[in-house]
Amino acid sequence: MKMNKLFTLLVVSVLITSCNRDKENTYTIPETYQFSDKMGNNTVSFSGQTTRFNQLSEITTYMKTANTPGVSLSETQLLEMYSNNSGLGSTYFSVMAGAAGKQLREKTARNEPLIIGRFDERFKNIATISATTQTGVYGAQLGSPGVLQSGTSAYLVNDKGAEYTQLIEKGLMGAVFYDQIQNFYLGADKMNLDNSTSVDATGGLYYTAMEHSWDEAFGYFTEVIDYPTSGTDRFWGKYSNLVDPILQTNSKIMLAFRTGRAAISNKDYSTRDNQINIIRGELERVAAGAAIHYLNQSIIQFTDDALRSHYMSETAGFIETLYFTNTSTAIISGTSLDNMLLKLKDNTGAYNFYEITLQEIVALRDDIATAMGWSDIKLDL
Amino acid sequence: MRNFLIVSLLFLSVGCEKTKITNNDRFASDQQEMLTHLGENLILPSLLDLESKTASLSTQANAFSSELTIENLALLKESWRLAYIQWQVTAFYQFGPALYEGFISLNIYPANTLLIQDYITSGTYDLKTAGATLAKGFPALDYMLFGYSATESELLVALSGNQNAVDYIKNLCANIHETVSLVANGWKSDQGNYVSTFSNNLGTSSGGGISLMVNSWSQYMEAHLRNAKVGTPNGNSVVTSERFGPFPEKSEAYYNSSITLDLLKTSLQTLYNFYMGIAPDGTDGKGLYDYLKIINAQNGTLADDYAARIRSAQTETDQLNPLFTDAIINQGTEVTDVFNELKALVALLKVDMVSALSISITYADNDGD
Repeated sequence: MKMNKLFTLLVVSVLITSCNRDKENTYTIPETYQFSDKMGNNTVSFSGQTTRFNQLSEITTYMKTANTPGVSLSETQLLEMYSNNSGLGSTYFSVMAGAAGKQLREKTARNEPLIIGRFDERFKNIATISATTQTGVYGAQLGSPGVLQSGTSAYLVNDKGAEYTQLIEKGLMGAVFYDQIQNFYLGADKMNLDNSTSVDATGGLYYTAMEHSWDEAFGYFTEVIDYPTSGTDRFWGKYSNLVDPILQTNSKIMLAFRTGRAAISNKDYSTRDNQINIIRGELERVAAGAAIHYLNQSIIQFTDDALRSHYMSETAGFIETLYFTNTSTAIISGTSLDNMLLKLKDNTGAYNFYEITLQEIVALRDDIATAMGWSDIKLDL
Repeated sequence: MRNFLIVSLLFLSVGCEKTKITNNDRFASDQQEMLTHLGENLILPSLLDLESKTASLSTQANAFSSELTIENLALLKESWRLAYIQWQVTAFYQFGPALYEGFISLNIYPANTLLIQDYITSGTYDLKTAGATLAKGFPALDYMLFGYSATESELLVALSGNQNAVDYIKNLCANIHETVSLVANGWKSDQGNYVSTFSNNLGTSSGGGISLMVNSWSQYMEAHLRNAKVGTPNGNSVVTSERFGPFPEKSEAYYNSSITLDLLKTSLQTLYNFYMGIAPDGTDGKGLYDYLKIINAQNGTLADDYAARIRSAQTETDQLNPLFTDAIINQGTEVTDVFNELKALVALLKVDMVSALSISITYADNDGD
């Protein structure tokens, strides 16, 4: 009898925490990321993040033109796009991306020169190797940069099979978007801002400074308020959706963003802090899950130079991303990441996707899966 | 006990996830029977056969390298032929241990002869690296034994003055045997025991036994059977009905093209046996054919349609000249007929069968970036 009571209690508490979480609080959590003040004014704003999404999309589209042999890229243009002409606005961008004041370069790893230098070099390198390709020639091999082809796919790679387009795109998804969420907007400084007065009610800015920080974090995850109904076509919204069938990250991330935002508006900071931990943790799961996905693809396509290089380059970008997980929640530490990346590099320290063995790729896949506790689902990713 | 029941019912009725009975659960024992039969009676015995043939290959290579004679060369060539044919019998099973030991890399062609010559000249290479794919396995041996010199006696002369080249032949054979052994060991019940892992890996998730098997099968059908063996050398386009080519130098076993058609025929017969569940010893157990019947795929028609399609691909292949390089030059239309049958088999497999089995294709990542 005692046992049964205990069991009933257990079941009931599970129900409350798993299904009716919002009823624990006195405020409502909306179905989409839509919030307004008591007067009904919209308080959500993250247009600057969407502008940077557009910048990275347009840079990536430009880089991919060089996947056609004979097309060369301009280093000047790439570097100007990276900094949006030092923030002044670049005419290489469309109006959706070129707004002055927004740039990717200064947001890279919170303006850390070493990481920025790494991307500057990748931009210079892709321009250099693109100039060596000749129309109709798919001639890349170990020791010679060029375009690799597989079926209807073609990728520009360096002399060791690394695809700068992926290292740059996935790299900046990590060093800018992911880092800004993990370490900047959800960090202590941005979460200690004022939360009692509108930033500029007369100017139409009805949100508090803290609410706005939260929105900006959200805007680096997705540009739509109804994710994943839409917004699954690029960046973290896309890769969360990729791993979602196995890891259910879409709903967890969205619920945490909506709950945290409602908590802030209701000054419920312990709930907000719990959501910060959830968001950080789920984003790490997305990046690690995507890395495993592309390692699985690399294993399957090991004998295809073009596809292996492409998937390994995506993998490298996602592993580099994991360095930016907030250290307070990170499951995979920086030291482990150093060791993992060694498997992708040759003895000069460069990524080398020709000299890599299948065993090294499998071992790396298994290392990540073990660290994340995913040994039983690693084949599903 | 009664209270416990009530509580359980309550839990079920108000829980977030509705429980539903899926085909997986209904056909679990049929799945297990099929996977067990395929693993124990088809895959493992085929691999053991291959393992013993690659052991002979490696032994013959050692004998040849210590005594470069016409007789030893003939024995080496014959052991290469037997192992190459048996490799076709195991080639449909590119999942599990085969995936992780790089089994497919033993037969990617055409071989890169410049790369092979570089490796021989420098003497430094690692056949396990990704970059060595086109310089190893059966195609590299095809080149070394049949294409390196114009005649057998010239080959013996060339090799007798070039220890690096002799070592290369030996290393190719050792690498083939090592790779095959690792795969076979992975399946053996007293070693990796994948034979048990496989037969108990039920369900239709992408990591489940059926999905892994059908995905590897489909990928092999598409990239290797349809394209590499037939479409690419014959110059058939997958996208249009145009024909570019022929490209004899891209065919399998190009330097000894008298066996090319045998390799293709073996592959098609293996496809049939695997699909029907017919073991090398003739035992006819539960295969995908039977499973599709059980789940009543496309009202029971899919199972027979697919079997009939394989048979017509075989019939078309029987029309070809024995020398495949001759066939693609003089019988391009007939080879295209074979290609079209294979194309239809791939389409039926990738669309109809995959959907009937409630799985999805996971080897083609179509995210467009």
